[in-house]
Amino acid sequence: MNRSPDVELVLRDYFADDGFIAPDHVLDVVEERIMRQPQQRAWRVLRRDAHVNSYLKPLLAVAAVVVIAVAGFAFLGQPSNSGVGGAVSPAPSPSPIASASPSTTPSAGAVFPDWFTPDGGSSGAGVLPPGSQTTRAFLPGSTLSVPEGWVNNTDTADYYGLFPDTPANKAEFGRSGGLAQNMFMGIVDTPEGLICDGIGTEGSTAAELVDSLVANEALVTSEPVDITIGDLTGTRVDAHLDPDSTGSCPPNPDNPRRDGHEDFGVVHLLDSPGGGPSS
Amino acid sequence: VPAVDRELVISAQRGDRVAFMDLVRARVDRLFAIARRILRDVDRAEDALQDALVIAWRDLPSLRDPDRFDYWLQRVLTNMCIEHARRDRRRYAKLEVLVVDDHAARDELAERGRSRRRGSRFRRLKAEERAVLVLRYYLGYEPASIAEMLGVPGGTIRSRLHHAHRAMRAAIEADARASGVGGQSA
Repeated sequence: MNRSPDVELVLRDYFADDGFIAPDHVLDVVEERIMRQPQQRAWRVLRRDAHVNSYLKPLLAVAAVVVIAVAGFAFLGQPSNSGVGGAVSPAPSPSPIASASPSTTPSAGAVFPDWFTPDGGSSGAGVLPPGSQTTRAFLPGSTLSVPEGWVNNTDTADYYGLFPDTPANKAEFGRSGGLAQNMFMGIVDTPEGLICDGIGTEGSTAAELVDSLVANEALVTSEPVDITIGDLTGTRVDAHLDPDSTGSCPPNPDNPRRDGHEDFGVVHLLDSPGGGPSS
Repeated sequence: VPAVDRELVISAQRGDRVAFMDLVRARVDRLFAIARRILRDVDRAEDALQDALVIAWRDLPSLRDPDRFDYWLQRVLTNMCIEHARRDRRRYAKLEVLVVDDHAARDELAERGRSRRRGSRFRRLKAEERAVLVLRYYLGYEPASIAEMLGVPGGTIRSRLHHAHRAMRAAIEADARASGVGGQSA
């Protein structure tokens, strides 16, 4: 009788543990390398996972420098930078919720879309009512004009994230745990990763960072424009990876479908006279 | 695989290198086994594992659910192995000298030949297909989880499994034919 071989059994046998152990030097090398490797702030990784569509590109922004970065909120239905109502204060608020130590749990009573699980390291307010909203932990405190349907998933001292409750985000979250559309404000203290790893930026002020972006041959940039958002001044610039550039970002191991090239968007870089929450 | 120490993962997410190394130390043999099975080369497996662990350290703050640390880490490693395999498509030929001086050695040689045929067939699979087999039969993941882990559609995973199955079946049948030709009695 011509019995069909049981491929699965053979494979399981083939893959059976063989008692092979990793050489000691593997851990030694890893330990030595991570001593030189800083961790990425979660917002940077989240940005890498976000597919920036044309609708949201104008919203994506990063702030900068000595140490504050406030994202551009022009995307929130505002024609320019009027979406950010201005820094409440560059200093930590005495309010108990405006702590420089990020909360490890979502804020009590926060309601999120049923398809979304908030990050364990976040403290988002959940679904926001339309209208004026003020950050609780992000420094500097900011007021935003928020249209209907937006969700605050994170509000920590150095990161404030928003995303719209859309089918695209629901689908992407179900697929990868990431978001297809989002925007954020963040504190930038490691400018080398502003665009992506491998295509760095330099500087410690908004002006220096913008100069660095404009000079970067891997990017196509617009003419920088001076801006004022609330009490903060800075510069806005469009920055996108040049499709003809030979520069590239390394592949994202977390998302192998992406080849490392990323769109960017409108970047608002704002100087913080008082420094960021860590200063 | 040890149960995930949630507090250790959270500490590592906040920059505690000692906590991260404790997590890694408890898993490194298993991770190395995964890398060896996908890459079929000890040196390349070491390189891929080291790179994966450094990337994991760098990106750990992005891990949403500490309870999924192992799944996430295996995903980082698997994708790193595939990247390493794509980076270097060269074939490695390894010569092995065997001295055959008695029946027992001949039996061993025959068994090693069968094993080598399957290993050779396995090596000829694309890295993506080897990864799917390792995830399915070594780690026991369902196809849907593999699709999520590799970021490809479920249909692609089923296709890769089907192709890999066919290749392995061919190797097994070749073994059976070789045994028959060898005149082994029942």
